[in-house]
Amino acid sequence: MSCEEPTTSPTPENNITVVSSDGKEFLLDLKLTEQSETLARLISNFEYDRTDVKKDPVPLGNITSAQMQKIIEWLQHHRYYPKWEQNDIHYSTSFTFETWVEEYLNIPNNEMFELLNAANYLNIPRLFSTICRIMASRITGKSAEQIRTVLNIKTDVKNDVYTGIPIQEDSSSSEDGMSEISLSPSPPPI
Amino acid sequence: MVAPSKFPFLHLPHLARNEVLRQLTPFEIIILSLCSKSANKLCKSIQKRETNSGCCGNGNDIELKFSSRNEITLKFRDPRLTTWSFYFDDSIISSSFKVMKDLHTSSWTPKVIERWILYLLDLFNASLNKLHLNSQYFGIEENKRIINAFGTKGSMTTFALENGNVKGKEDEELIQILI
Repeated sequence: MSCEEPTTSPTPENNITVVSSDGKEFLLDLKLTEQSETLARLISNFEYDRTDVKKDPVPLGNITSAQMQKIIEWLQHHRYYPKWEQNDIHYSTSFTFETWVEEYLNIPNNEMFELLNAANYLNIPRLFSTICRIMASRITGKSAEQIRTVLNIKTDVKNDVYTGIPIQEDSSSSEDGMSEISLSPSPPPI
Repeated sequence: MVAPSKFPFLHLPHLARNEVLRQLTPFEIIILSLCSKSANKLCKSIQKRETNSGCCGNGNDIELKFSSRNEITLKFRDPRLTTWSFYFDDSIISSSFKVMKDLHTSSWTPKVIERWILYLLDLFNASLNKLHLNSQYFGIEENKRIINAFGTKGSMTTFALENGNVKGKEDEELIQILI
C-alpha cells in the first residue's frame, strides 16, 4: 500500500501528509500526488520533493476524510496510467466505462456530487472528467422530467397542458425564450 | 424509507457544469434548457462564453428545409463539424408533431417554426443561413409566404429550390422573387 494512515513510524521521504477537514491525517506517496495538479503545484512550490526540506502536513479544508479515502483509491488505481490528456472530441451518443470505474462510481448521487467537487478542488483531471461523463451518461436519452429528477433541478416553469412542454409563467420569462416553443395547441397561422 | 440522494447540478462549480454540458448532444442540451429557467440560462451562458464547449461553441449554422420531412438542421463548428437534424414527424396524435423524445409541438406552421428557429438561434448562438424551398410540396403562394417569413431572418445567405421545374412557370416566378 502506498497510502496508509500515519503511524508512529517516521514519515518516509517520498510521502507527504495531508489533513482532511475533519482532522484525519493521510500519508500520500508523492508519486500519487502527481495526478492532482493542486497537490503537485503545492509540492513543487514548497519543494517537498527534496529530501532535505521539512514537510509540514498539508491541510485540505474542503475534503472530508471519507472523500479523501475515495480519492486515494482512485489515485492508487491510476498510479501507472499515462498522464491524462483532454479529449478534443466532445459530445457522444453513447458512453462506455471500465468495469472498475463503474464499480468505483456506483455511489449515491450526493457522494458523487461531493466527489466531483473534491476532484475539482484537487484538480484531478481524469477523475473530474470521468464523473462529468458519468453524469452526462445519466442525462442522455432522458426526458425533461427525468433530467429534473437526476440533476435535482426544480421546476420553475409551468408545463403546457397539451404538450407537456414548459411554458412561460409571466412576462419576465419571455426574454429567455422559455417555451416559446409550442405554446399552444393551435398557433395562429401567418 | 430513505429518499434518493440528490445531485444538485446547478450548484456545481462552473468548470464542472461546463464539462458535463460539453459531453451532451444538441438534443440533450435542448431538453436540459427546457427543464428550468436556471438550466436555460446556464446552457445559453456557456454557449456564448466558451469556444471549446462541444455543440455549445460559437459560429454554428442553422438550415431550414421545407419538404415532406419538415426539417431543421443544425450545423456545429465543433471538431467533428457535426450536423444534427430535427424532423417534425406527425405523431400518433394527429394534431401534434413529434420533435424528439417526449417533445412535441402543436403544428408545423410558420409561427411555430419561427418560435423554434428563434429558440435554437438563441440557445446555440447560431445563425439561420440557408432556406430550402420545395416545389413538389408547396405552391408558389406558400413558398412566397415562407420566403417572407424566414428569408429575412438572421444572416440568410443561401436559398435552395429543391425539385425545381416541377411546376415550370411557378418555379421561374419563385426564382425571380429570390433573385
